[in-house]
Amino acid sequence: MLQPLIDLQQVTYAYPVRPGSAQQESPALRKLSLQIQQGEYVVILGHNGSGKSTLARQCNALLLPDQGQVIVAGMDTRDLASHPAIRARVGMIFQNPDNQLIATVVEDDVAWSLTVLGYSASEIRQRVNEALEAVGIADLRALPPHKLSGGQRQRVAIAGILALRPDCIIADEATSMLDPVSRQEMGKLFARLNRDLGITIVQVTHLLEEAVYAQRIVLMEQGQIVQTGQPGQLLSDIERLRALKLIIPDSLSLAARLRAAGFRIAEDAVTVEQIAREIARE
Amino acid sequence: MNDVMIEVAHLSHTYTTAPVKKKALDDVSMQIPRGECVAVIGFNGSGKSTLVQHFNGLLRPTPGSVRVDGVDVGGAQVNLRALRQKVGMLFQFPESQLFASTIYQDVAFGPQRMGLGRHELRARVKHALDIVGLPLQDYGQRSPFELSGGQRRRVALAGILAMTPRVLILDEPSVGLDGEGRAEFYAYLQRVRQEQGVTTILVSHDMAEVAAIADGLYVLHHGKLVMQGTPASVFAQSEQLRRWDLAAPPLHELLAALRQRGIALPEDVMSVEDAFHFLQQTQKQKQKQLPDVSSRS
Amino acid sequence: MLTNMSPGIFYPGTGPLHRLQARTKLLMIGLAVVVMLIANQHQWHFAPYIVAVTWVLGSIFGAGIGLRELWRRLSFLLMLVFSSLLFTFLGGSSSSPAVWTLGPWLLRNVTISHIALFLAIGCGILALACLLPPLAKRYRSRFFFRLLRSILILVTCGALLLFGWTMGLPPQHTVPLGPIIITRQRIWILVVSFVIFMALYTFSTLLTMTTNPVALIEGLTILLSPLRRLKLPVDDFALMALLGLRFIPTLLDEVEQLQKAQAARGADLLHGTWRERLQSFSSFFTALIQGTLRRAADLATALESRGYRSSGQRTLLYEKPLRRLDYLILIIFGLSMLGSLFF
Repeated sequence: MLQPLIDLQQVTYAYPVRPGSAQQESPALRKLSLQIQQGEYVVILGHNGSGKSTLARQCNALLLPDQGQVIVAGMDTRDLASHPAIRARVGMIFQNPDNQLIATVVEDDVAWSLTVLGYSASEIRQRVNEALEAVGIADLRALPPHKLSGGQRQRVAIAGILALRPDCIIADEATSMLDPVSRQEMGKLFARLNRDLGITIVQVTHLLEEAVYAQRIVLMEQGQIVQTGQPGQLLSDIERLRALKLIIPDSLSLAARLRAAGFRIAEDAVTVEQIAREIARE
Repeated sequence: MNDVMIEVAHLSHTYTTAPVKKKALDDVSMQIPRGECVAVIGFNGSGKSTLVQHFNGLLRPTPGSVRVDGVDVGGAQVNLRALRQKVGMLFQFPESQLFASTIYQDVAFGPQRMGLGRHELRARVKHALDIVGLPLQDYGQRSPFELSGGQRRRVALAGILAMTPRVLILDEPSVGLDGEGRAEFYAYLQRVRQEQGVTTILVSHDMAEVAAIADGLYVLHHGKLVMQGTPASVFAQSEQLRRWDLAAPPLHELLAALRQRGIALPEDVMSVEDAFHFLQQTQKQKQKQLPDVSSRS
Repeated sequence: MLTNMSPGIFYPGTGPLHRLQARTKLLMIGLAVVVMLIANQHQWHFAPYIVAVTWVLGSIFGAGIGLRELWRRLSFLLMLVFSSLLFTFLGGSSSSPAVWTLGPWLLRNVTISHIALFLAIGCGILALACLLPPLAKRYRSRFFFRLLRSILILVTCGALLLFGWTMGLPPQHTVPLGPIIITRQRIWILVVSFVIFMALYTFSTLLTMTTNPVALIEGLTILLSPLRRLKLPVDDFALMALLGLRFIPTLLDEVEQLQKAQAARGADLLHGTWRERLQSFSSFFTALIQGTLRRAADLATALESRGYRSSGQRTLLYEKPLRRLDYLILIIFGLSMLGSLFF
């Protein structure tokens, strides 16, 4: 079997307790193991505080495991010297679209990581152009970040990672501050980058709607993985999802009720289109 | 008694902060009935925040007029302080606007400025915190920064409620909250509405979440009021909404998709329940017509 | 309103000033400062200032930015500088010879009281007129209108007081007014400080308007690079400057949002008791600082994740080796400025 791109082995992690604070933090991750293969589209699903963001930050060495180990593309994250190489291969975008853009103009921001690494100016120009084209914001290249909408800013952040030609993009709650249409567009963009460029996508979210495009869903609760599986498999068990404090989109609950009432709706029908097709066939 | 709480007539607003002049509102007229819950919907930059900032005098209506409870907001003699007390407004990410070291102090900030006696002040803070489910005796002396995001947001809501507003404006109240936080926030909001009968105005780009509690919707696009009506009538136009960069709730998208496929869903199907019963019934009828369903597959 | 005044907004363009390297422009400003400060020592030596003003006008022309746009950026500060400089005239006596002496005027009490009465009646009528609603509606800006009204009322009251006071004094007595003595030194200081302020402010405004911020910081980094030998963190400084420029608009937005949020909760910096105002003020800053710290923490994570490191050779996107145009301009500028010191 191939070596996984990201390999978490028995990872335990607790946030350092602030001196003076009385409360004892329980570990954010508890003996968690997860393998992500090159080219996968994985959604990590859980409510706030389930440890999903902590998990994401372990994957590009922003956090280091207390116990266990994380191997990214063959490199151990505990080896500090490997951090630049790990971050060049596994890029990350964050929740707040505002607080991750550094330069004052879109194209400079996309180029920023490359300039730090010392690429030649012509190479940078070419890569920036490609990255801007790939996320579809080439026409906004000369604008300052504060003139963009939230969805556009997240695209700039993605372009900044794409310019590094990474193996994997981790989106840490990257859509939770966006409007529904931008959110759907981000989902489509991730799916396209995954399909066309073969980039591994790890999307961290608390929204079931976003999980429907994934190849694999990882359900998290209290720092552990409760279940992993394909969307069709996991999303049909509405009661369980509800118990994990997730919001169930009405389209899924309607499908589940109809199925329970004897309609033949395939389990892997999870998007609105698929469900509509199944119902209409009846 | 006048049953219109907020009346907007021919309101326009242009931001003069250059380089480019931008028309944020363009001849908007609307009437919001007393005691109702309405939602103002629009994509980024549609002017929805600009519109509601006129309701409590943060922006002056020029040209056009805004009347709140019969009082002209643009009038020369308008008492802004009284107006802002009557029209409470919760901004985006209100939890980031908390500042005091205890929850009690933070909630008391607004009412303190109303010149209340000490007992009255305490009673108001207590009541406001009770409504949002953070009782004074348990939470009053704690720091707001120890709480979760959803709880902090409720503290901010209590800070507004303690001023006993007649109108409550909430700008993107659920952005950034997860499922649980969102459900709790709306549950407490419903309670506020029932107990205090406040007119509630939600400002949002997400229609799915306002569908459950709004009585009426106003859709803004590029500063113009382009659609208004009950949630059902607005959501039925999902094609049109797409063009304004808005998405109907997943259920309505599904219903629209079903109609496209030739299933004659009536207009008044509004909930999962309705849709379920309707689909079940049509299936039963089909089965009557075709007794041997199994032979089809 | 705040976004109106924010500095460092770049206007893309292709004028001659846009084509210069940031280093060239920074060096020019540096040189201008030095030359003008040296020239200050030598009274009545106008040549350096005339040359500087010529360069300012030339670069305004070369920037290709609309005069109106520029005026909007400059007007506020220029007015401020100008009005504050006027007060240098009213200072105490100085040793240098007077060029021009105004007054002293000898006014009889009766004349003063007449002037005061006229002023009181005139302003009083105008102030009353301002209270009338039809006229009030004419003014589009309420703020201006209110300001005008309060000034008029103040003047009326002052004039009435003066009138009452002078009526009680013997009518034919004279009161000396002035003299206002204008010395050569004062004129010199006035002219010189005005030109220095104007030139530097215009130059730096043009610099930020015609230079991409990233280029500006790259230019600054190159100019400061000798300091690396002294183990000073030049690159960290450059990053800080870049983040500063990047987040000015964002923070201004946040300030505005926060002000509105607190106004909605009854906070008011302009009304209420001093204690209330102070409380509003402190709560505003607490929230602002907390927000900024949170932002900074987010940003630090993002920087780390995007591979920031303070060592190593980074690529310069904008700063190329100086071209013929840069050398040409630098040499002409340097020669003309330095030369003007000797003429």
